[in-house]
Amino acid sequence: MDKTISISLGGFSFIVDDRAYQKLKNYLDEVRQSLNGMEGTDDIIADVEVRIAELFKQRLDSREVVNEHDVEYIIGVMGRPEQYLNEDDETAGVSDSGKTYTGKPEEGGKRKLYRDPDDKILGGVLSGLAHYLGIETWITRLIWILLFFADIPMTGTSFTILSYIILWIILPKAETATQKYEMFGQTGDFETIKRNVSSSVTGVKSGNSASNVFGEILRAIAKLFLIFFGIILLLIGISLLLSAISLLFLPDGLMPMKIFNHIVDYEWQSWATKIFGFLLLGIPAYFLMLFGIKMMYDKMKIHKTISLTAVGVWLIAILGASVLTSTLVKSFSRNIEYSNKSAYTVDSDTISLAFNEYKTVGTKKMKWGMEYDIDDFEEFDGKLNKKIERNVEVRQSPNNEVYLDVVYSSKGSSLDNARKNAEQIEYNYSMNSKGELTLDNYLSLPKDVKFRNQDVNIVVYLPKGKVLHTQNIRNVIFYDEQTNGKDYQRGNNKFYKFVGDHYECLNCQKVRIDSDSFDDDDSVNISEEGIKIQSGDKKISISKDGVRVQNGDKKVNINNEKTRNDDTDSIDNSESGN
Amino acid sequence: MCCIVLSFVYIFALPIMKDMDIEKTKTQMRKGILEFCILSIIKRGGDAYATDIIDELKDSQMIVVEGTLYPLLTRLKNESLLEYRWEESSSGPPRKYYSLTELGDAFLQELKQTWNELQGAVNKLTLETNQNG
Repeated sequence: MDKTISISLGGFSFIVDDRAYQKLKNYLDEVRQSLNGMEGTDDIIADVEVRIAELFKQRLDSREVVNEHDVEYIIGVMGRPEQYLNEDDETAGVSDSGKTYTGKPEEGGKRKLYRDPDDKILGGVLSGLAHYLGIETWITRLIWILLFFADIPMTGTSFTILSYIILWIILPKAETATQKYEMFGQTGDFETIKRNVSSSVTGVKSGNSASNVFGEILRAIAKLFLIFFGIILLLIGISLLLSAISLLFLPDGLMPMKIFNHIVDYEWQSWATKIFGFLLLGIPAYFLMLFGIKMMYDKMKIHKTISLTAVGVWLIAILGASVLTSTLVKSFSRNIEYSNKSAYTVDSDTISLAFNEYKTVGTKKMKWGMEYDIDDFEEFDGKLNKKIERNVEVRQSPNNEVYLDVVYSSKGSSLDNARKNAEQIEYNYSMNSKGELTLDNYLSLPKDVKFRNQDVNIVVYLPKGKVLHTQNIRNVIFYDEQTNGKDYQRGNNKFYKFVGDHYECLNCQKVRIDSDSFDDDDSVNISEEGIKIQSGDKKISISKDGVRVQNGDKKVNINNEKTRNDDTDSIDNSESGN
Repeated sequence: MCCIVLSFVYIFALPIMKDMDIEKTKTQMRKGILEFCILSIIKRGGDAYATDIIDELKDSQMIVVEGTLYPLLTRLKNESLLEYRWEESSSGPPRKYYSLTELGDAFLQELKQTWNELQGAVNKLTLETNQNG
C-alpha cells in the first residue's frame, strides 16, 4: 500500500496517495512553467487549484483517497500544461482524456538526449548525457572533470569546456513531461518522473545512498571549479572586449592603421575592417562574459534571441571580413621586378658602400628608424616613406667597371598594375668619383599611390681587384656564381677583398668590432678617432695623437707633432723593470 | 559556408515562415471569439463564477480543455476588462465572481458590432460562393 499524504487544495483538504501526489505536483509545476512567467501566474494557479478541488469533490463521492487515476482524469479535463496557453496544441488527441498525458508507451522506448533541468550544476548537459547512457550522473561528471585535467596539458586548449558549451547550446532542455520521459527512454514509467521531482517534494525522501554522497561532494567541487573558471572566462571576455573596443578607435596615425590606410583603396574599407574586427572579437567576448557569469551565477537567463542574433551577426562579420580580405589579397596577387643598371668607372682601389643614416627634410636631417623619430613607415614631405632593409648583394663584375643595379619590385592586382606601382617608387643614390656609393635607406611613394609592398634591392657588381668598404649596411651578401650560393656577412664598417675564390674580411678575424672593450681581452676598434687593437695587455693604437704600442709594461709612443707640447723625443721608449 | 546559409535562414526566413503558419491564424481567430463569448456570458448574468463559464463554454463546445479558460480570464482582468469579487459559498471556501468593468462593457459592445459586421459579410460571401460553386 502506498503512503498517503494530506494536502490542502483550493480551500479543501484531501488525502492523496504518494503516486497521485507526485503526479499532481508535477502537473501543477509544469502548468506554472508553461505559463512562462505571465502576469498573474499565481492567480491562475490558485484558480486552477480551486477547480481541481471541485472536480475531485465531484469525482471522489464517497471515496476518501485520491489516486493516480483521479489525477489523470483531472489532467484530461484541464488539459496538458502546454494547452493552457495554446489550446490547439492537440497533437496527442485530447479526446480520450487522461490517457493521453500518461498513455502507456512501448516498452524500452528509445532514449533521447536532452539537458536535464532538474539535476544540473550548470546546464544539465552531463546529467542528460548520463540519462541517455543509462548511468549515474556522478559518473559522467567525474569523467568530465578527469578529462578536463587531462585536456589542457595534452592539447593546450580546453576541448572539454568547448564541447560542453557547444552541447549546452545545441541540446534542447527536457521541459515537458513527454521530453522527460524520452530522456529516460521509459515513456510513462511514473517512477522516473518521480525521481525528477523528488528534490522539490517535501513529503517523502529516501535516505542518501553512498553514491549520492559522493555525487554531492563532486557537485560541491564542480561548483567551486565553475566559479573559478567563471571568473577566468569573465576576465578573458572583458579584456577581449576592451581590445575589440580599442580596435574600433585605433588612431589613424599609429600602426597598423598608419600603413593600412595606405593599403586600402577606399576609406570605407578601412572602416569596414575596423567594424568587422570589432564584431569578430567583441561577440566572442560577449559570449565568454555571458558564460563566465552563467558559470558563477546559475540563475542568470541567457536570452536565446539575442544570442542567436549575435551568432548570426558574427557569421556575417566573418563573411564580410573574408570578402574584404580576399579583395585586399587580390591587390597583392601579382609581383613584378624591374631593374635600373648603371655603370661607373672608378679609379680608386677601394669602393665604399654606405646607407645614409639620415634623411634630409628641408634643412633638417632626420634620423630614420632608430629608437626615436620615426617608424618603418612615415608620411612626411608629402610622401609615404618606407624604410628598406639595408642589404647589398655583391656580384662579380665582368670587366673593370663597377655596376650598380637597383631592383624595384612591387605587387599589384595585375602585372600591369604591379608595374605601375613599381614605377612610382622614388629612390635616391649617388656615386662620386672617389668610388663612394651612398644609398638612401628609404624609398618614397607619392601620397596618392597605394602601398603594394613596394621594395628596392641593391646589387653591386665589383671588379675583382677592388677592396670593398662597407658602412652602415646590415648584410653584405656575396653571390657565388659557380655554386649559386649566398654568403651573408656583416656590413658595419668592414673591408672585404677578393682572395682566392671568395671575399675575405680584412678587419674582422676572430674579433668583435665596435665593442666598448673594457672587459674584453681582444678587440679591434676602428673608428673616426683611429684604430685601437688590444690583446690582453698588448695594445696598439693609431690616432690623431700618434702611434702607441704597449706590451705589458713596455711602451713605444710616436706622437704627432701637433700634440707634442714639450721637447721630449718624438720617440719615447720607456722601460721599467725587465 | 553551409553553416552561414543555415544561420541566415534561421535568423531571417524562419520568423517570416512562422507568421504564415495557418495554425497560428486559427488559434488567434478562436481566441478572439472565445474572448467575445466569455464577455457575453458574464454580461448576461451580471457576474459569473468560473465554473459556470466553463460549463456554458463546454456545452457549446467552445473549449475542449478547461485549463485554457484561466489564463484568459486573468489576461482580461489584467487588461482591466474584467474585475472580480469574493463571495461566500455555502459549500466551501469563498468563490471568485467575475463581472465586466466599464471598459469591458465598451469593449464587448465593440466586439459585438464587429462580429455582426463580420457575420453579415461572411454570410454574404459564402452564400455567393455556394451559389456559384
